[in-house]
Amino acid sequence: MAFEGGEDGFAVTGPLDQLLAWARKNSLWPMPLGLSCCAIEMMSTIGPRFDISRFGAEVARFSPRQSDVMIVAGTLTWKMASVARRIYDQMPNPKYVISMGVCASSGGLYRNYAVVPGVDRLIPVDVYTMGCPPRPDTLLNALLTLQKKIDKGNTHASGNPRPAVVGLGG
Amino acid sequence: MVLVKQRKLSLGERFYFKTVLVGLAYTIKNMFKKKVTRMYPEQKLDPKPSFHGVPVLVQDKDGNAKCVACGLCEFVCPPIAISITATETDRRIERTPKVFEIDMLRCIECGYCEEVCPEEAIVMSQEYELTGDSRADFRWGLDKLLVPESKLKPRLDYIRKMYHRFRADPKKEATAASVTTPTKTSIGVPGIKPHAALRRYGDNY
Repeated sequence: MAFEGGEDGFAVTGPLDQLLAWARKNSLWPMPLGLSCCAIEMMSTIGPRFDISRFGAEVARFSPRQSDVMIVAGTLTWKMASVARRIYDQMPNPKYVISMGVCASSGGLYRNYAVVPGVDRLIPVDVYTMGCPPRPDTLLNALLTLQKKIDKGNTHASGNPRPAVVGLGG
Repeated sequence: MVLVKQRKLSLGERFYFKTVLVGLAYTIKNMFKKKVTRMYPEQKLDPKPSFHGVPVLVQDKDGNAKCVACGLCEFVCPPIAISITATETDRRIERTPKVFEIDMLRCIECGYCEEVCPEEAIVMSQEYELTGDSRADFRWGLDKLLVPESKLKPRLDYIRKMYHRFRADPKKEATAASVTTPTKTSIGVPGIKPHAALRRYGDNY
């Protein structure tokens, strides 16, 4: 991808998929699926102190049809699982998933029949995040990681993810 | 049904002029205040020694783990994130972990492992922003967990200070034995030896 032009202005030229990736990664609208205490840290990330809008991801509305990245923040119970899956299915392609916190990533503290041992049982996860709950910095780091992945084109949405390891710590 | 009578607005209120000016004044006042945003990737958090990051193992000067693989942290860990396989060694400690794994996607950074450790071998580091795209990346083995003692000095000093009040002081004990004034108030059940994990709190537990 290159910036071409002179005094009159410039044009961005390059392969279409690179241009699309560049556009997509800088306007990741999140679908906040706040399920428990991680959601508080997610709200703090959107607030002025950490200001997620610096990365073009401030449009956090509960509207799956207008969003690109689903942030699963909190403990996902089996009762909520079908809802989470339906919200994911309602999102338009290309769609990405950030699993925020240990509960969403692996079940965390909750090793029981009521809690899903990781959202990757239901939906493909692009970025996992540690912490209980993660600091806003960690969520921003996850967003930056996702931007890098979109740039390289190895997300689940682009059909070229890193090989997933299934069945760990379930 | 509740009927709410609306107040009749005055002329000034209907023009909406004063309200707009008040709002503008508030905006302009805040424009000159100090900015609160921390520019994250450039300005990182400066963690204090009291910060709970992910737990790591302390590595001594010879490059070995201080851990003696007693299994207390494995036992106390609420999300069961730690798994240890012990082996024998020729060193003075005689026992050392062969496999020490912490699943960082289970760990909740509670610090119980650090608190229970009798050897000060596992401490909370200041690493807190791990992200990754595979769950296997978060299973840290001995190769990732071992951190030299010099790097963990602030935290080690902090926990020595923090947990000091629970520790039995050998000097005090010696003087107490010589004076023979047993003023200890035992909270535990009399006649029953406390659990090995609690013995480090001294007799005052």
